[in-house]
Amino acid sequence: MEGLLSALIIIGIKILVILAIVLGVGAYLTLVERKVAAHIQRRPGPMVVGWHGLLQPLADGLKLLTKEDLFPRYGNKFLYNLAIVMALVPASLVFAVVPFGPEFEVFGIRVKPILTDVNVGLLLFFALGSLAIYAIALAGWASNSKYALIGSMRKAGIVISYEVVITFALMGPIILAQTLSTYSIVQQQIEQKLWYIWLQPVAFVVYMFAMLAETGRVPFDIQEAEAELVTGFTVEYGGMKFGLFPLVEWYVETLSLSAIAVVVFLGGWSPINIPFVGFIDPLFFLGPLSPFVWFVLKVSLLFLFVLWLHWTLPRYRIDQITSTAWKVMLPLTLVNLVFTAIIAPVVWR
Amino acid sequence: MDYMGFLIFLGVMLVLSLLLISLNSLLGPKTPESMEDYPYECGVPLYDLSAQSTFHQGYYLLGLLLLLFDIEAAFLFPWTVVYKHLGVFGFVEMFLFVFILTYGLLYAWRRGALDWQFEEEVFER
Amino acid sequence: MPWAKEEDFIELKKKFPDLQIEVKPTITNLHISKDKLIELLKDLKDLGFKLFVDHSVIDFPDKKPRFQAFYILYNVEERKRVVVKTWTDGTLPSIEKLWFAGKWAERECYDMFGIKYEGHENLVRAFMWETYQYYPLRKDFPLEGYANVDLPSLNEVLYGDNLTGTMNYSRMHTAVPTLEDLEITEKKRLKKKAQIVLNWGPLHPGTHGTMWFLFDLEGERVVQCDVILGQLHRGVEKLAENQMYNQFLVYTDRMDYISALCSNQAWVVAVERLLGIEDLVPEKAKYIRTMMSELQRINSHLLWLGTYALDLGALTIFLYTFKEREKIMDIIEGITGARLTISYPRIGGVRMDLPEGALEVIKAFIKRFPKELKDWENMLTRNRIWLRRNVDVGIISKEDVYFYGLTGPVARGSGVPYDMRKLEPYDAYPYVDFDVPVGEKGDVYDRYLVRLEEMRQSVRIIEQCVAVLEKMPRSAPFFAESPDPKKIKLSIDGIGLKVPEGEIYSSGENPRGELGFFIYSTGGVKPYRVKIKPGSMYNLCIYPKLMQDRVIADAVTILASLDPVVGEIDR
Repeated sequence: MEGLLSALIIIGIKILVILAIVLGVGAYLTLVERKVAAHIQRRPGPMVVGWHGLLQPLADGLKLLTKEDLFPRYGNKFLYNLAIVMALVPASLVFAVVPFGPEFEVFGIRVKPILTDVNVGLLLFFALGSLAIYAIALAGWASNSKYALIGSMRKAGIVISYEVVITFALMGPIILAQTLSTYSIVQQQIEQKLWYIWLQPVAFVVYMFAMLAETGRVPFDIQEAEAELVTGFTVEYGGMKFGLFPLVEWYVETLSLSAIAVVVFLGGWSPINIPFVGFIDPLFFLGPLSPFVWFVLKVSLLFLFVLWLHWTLPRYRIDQITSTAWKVMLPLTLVNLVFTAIIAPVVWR
Repeated sequence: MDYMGFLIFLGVMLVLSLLLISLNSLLGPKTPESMEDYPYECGVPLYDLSAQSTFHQGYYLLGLLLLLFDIEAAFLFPWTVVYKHLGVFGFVEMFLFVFILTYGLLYAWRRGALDWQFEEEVFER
Repeated sequence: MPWAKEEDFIELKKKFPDLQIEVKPTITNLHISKDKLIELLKDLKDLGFKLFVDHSVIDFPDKKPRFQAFYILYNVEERKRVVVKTWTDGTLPSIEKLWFAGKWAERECYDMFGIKYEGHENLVRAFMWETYQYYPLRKDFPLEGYANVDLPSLNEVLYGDNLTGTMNYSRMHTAVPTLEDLEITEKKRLKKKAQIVLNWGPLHPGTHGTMWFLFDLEGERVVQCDVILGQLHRGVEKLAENQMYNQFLVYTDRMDYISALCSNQAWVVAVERLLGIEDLVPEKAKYIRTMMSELQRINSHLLWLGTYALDLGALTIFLYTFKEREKIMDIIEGITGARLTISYPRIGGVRMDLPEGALEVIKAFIKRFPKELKDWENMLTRNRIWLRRNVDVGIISKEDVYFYGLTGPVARGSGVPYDMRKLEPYDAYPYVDFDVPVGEKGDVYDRYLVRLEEMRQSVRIIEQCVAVLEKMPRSAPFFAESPDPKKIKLSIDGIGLKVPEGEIYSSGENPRGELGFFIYSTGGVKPYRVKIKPGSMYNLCIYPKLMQDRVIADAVTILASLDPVVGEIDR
């Protein structure tokens, strides 16, 4: 009973931390994106609300919450609301399998900063990613509007193509690590003194592409192409229901996919790595906090890279995106898989 | 026991999303107007009343391909985890499996299932 | 003036005995009867007059037959223009098979005058809705319209307000389309053949203005497409019949509001040619007008580039080009006093002289501008995604240019060197040195490159104009002295300017195409008929053909490359 209570308390704290990330950091990432975009475009960005716009997400959230609750005339009410639930829940559940740092001890209890450390963590991640498709397809269908339907079909087509690509791209590191648990993958990288990105650059690049496509970011954001489809499948949504879709897609999913990329390719919470030799830690003075800081640093780097691409490149056309997925990316991942299978024994020795 | 955190989190997120959805109807103004829920078609009357008619079957083909390759991935996962203990036999076995499925991809490619935008559809104008 | 001479039509005179050739200094007319019209047009087309410029109708209510129809054609190789005229009582044969652009011109004539065209495939109204009952440009339709619809004000409907006193507006109103009217219009315009019909409609951020497209879709592929225009129709041609020549000047820049100075210049040059005073315009005014037009050309092309990149997803280029546009508009505001609707040229010169420091500011701008242009080119021109979306999309062949009456960068991108500044030079264009970029393949990418190069050539022209203007003394005149103040009363406000009887077609090179004015004057201070040839409208009429069998995603690309402005299309 005692163990159960302490376990529940620890779980509660972890859930609170993850909620803070999903909702809090996610909302503040909107501000980060707007500021970065503004500075790329030589303008200051949001400056009015709060000091240099720091309270802007709060203002945006309040505005969205107090909008009128519209419902399209010919829509399907149950599916309409179900789509939002199916968008938010799986995307945030991915954070349950992301390890933020090494195991540490507090008050005599060993705590692993990961919510569910099961030995099929990555499989859980794939399963949750596949659930995201339902949200898109349902939203478009339930709205019963031509623009929504076209937008959602396009997005769904892209997401399912790149689902396959992500699955195959991540198999390379799994071979090298011989485990599906996210925590153990990072541990394996630390033990083998090797970030898997050195051995799997192709897989990393393909994964980055697939991440951009899954989360609907430029150059694959035909969903948000205002010039063609206004807002695509969210065109009949208003208020907070509308606000949740970009929040989930652009920010929460990007964060979670970047986190998985860092875990699988960039060594999770380990400091800078020289392959097969060891680790250098310029932030050693932070003591036990250092791994967490490294993790956050790496995830932010990937996120900023995604932002940089968003505000610079034009976007592809739908058929170019899907044909790239099946004709270029998938063969690349298959070749990578075979190659990894061949050189894996060399690495293990 | 491992999944307890996951399940609690699932419950929390469900409650949270339902709360966020219903907040709009609680907090928002209610000013019903006759045309405000008309489907968005750029401000003009709809030509076709319902959008839920047939749609292009290219998307359906993509779904089929997804099914195939997801099942292939499902078979490959256990292999990747225990690859170390399988040796050359495991490698050759899986290589054959992947090769056969790649051949399937090539077939779909050749037959035009991946060029789903510009199929040779003869359409009388 | 590149009008055809009598010698060019010797064989035609033999074939058509009742053909009358009328050669005046401002125009060349061929008069023919209605039944031989199609044959004559076909023979003219074979003779080389392949480019369709314009077609419309003039209403003479006292004469019998009532309407005089005119067709303006152009021979690009030999640089000659001719106008074919005929008289009719209400029906005409359709020239749809000869020139597709004629189909749209005929829809407009049906809409405005009620002329029925035999052989036209889908004779619908061009600008008004289908159930509109009147023909507005006829002389018996009053300028205010018929106020016979009872429409209450919004206050009355929502709050039951009973407005009294000066707020008591009349409830009678001219006709306004209802939703049923719009539905009838869209159903009549496009007969559905495939799965769904999508309204890419007037209220949409992707169409450059309020144009209404109907896409007949099969999945993502467009099977057929049509355009409904008229959301911005303001009746400019009807207004022109009630304004003096200088008063109409302010309407010309509100048509193509993005290249206002060029439109103004085209109108002013047309009236000057009709008066015969184009040599009297002082040199300073000519150079100032040229320089301002070229600045406006850069302005317009920057807007095109910004919105084009924005539609395709490169969101940052939009802000960079608008920053440069701000600089140009500040310059224009300093010189003319307005940013958007400028009305700076006048019939006989310009409104006022350049202020002090204007030339230095322009020089500073053109020193910095080519470097910025090069920066953006680095981002876009060889960008792999940009190439994939633009190359081989929307190819227009040379024959299409003639068949659809295309002008401007759209024609030049397909290899036809059609530039009014070289073919019929006006103002200071004969004295400055510049090249005309011409594309090869005619796809969207070529048109993009043509417009970028045009911006550089504009910089070159501005440099030369600035060099000439710096050397001129400050007291050089900027407005013409009238040779005979009793007959031609030239003044800056232009009141009382009487234009002698005559007609002319004259055009200027807008950034979008050729903006032409056909002025028919019966003496007096107001013109009898003004027909405006909108470059954007005939550029747009190739859009349904280009969109066939393409994906919706290309709709934006092709539309942006045609660069339409609805103010000019709808007038």
